[in-house]
Amino acid sequence: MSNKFFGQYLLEKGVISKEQLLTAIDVQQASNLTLGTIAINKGYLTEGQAELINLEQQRTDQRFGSLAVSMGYLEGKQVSELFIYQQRKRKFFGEILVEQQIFDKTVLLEHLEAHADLKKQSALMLDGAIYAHQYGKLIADIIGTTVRLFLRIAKMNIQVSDIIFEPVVLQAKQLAFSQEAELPEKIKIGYIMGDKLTGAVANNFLNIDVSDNPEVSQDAVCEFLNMVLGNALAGHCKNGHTVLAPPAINEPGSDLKEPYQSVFNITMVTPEQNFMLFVYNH
Amino acid sequence: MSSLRVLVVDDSLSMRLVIKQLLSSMGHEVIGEAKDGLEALKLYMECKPDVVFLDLVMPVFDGKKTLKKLLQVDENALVVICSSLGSEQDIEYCLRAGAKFYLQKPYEVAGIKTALNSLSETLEQ
Repeated sequence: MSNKFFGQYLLEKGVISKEQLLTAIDVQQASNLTLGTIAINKGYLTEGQAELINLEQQRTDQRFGSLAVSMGYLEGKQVSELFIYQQRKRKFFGEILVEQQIFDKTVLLEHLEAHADLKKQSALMLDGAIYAHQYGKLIADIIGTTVRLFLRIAKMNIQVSDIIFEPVVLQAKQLAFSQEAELPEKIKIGYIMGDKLTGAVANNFLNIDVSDNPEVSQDAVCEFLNMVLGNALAGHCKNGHTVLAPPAINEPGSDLKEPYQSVFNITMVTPEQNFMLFVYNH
Repeated sequence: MSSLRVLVVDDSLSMRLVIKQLLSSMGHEVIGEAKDGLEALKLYMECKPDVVFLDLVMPVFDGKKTLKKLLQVDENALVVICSSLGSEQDIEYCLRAGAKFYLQKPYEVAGIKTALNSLSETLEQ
C-alpha cells in the first residue's frame, strides 16, 4: 500500500542504481528551469525583480507569469514566450533515463504503465484507509491543506505514500511538531520531520536562510503546522469555534502517544525527503 | 497613505519576522512585538500604537481574550486579527467583539494593504 515517485519506484525495483537516480535528478533539475530563472537568463528580469515576484507568489495563489505582468515587470507576450521555452526544455524523469541509455523507450513505457497502475491501486487503498478512520474527513482535509501549503509555502511537491498503525519512535535529528485540537474530544496532530526538511521548509517559508538558527527553523515549522490545522479544522470543531492549543515540539525520547491510544501515521514523500503526518486520538 | 505604527502580537518568532518584513516593505513601522496577550497589553499601554496585529492561538492569554481586554482599556483600539483559524464562527466572533479586520494566514499582501489603507483613512478622519 505504498505510493512512490517514479524514480524511487525504479530504484526499489532494482531497475536503476542510486547513482543513476541521483544523476537523473541532477539532469532534471538543470533542464526544468523556473520561469523566473529563464527570464533572468534572457535578460527580461533582474534577480531582484524575480525575488520580489517570488515573495509575492509565496503569499498568494497566483502564478509567476500573471504576477510578473500585474507587477509591471513583464508583458503578456514575454510570459507566453518564456512559457513555451520552458515547456520545450522540460524533461521528464523517464525521458532522461532513456537519453542516458539505461533502458529504451519500450521498456520505459512498460515501467510507466506498471507504475501508474500501482499508483492507482495504492491511491484507492490509501483513500479507503483514510476515510475508514473515525476522523477520516478531517484527516483528508489536513492532507489536502498540507499538500497545498507545502507547494505554496515550502515550494515542494508532496504526496501520501503509506499509512502505518504502529507508534513511531523518534530518531536522532528528528523532531515532532504537534498540536492538540478539541473536537470536542482531544486529538493530537502533527508532523515528524528530520532536521534537513525542517530547515528547507523554514528557509522557503521565511524567504531567508535560517539554516544556522534551529530555533527559528523549528518555530517556522510549528507555524506552518498551525496554518495547516487552522485552515483544515474550520468546520470540524464543536459550535464552529476552533479550539487549538499552541504547537509543541517533542524531541527523541519523548512519548508522543501519551495519553492517546489510537495511532494513525501517514507517510508523506517529497522527491527527496520523507516525513510523517500523525493523528493520535482516544 | 501615511506610515502606521504597528504592534505585532504573535507567539511565533518566524511569523513576527514575516509580518515585520511585509510591513516595513509597505513603509510602516513595527514599534513593538509581543509573544502573548499579557505582554501585548503592557506594550499597548506603553507604546500606544496606531494598529495592533493580533494572533489568536497563543499561550498564556490567547488572542480572543486579548482582543476583549484591549478594547476594554481603549475602545478605539484598531485591532487586525491575523490568524490561521478560518472558521466563520471564529471570524464572526472577533469582528463582533470589535476587531476591525480579520486576515487569515498565510498572509496575502493584498489583504494587509486593504486593511492598512482602510485603518489609515480611519485615523486621518
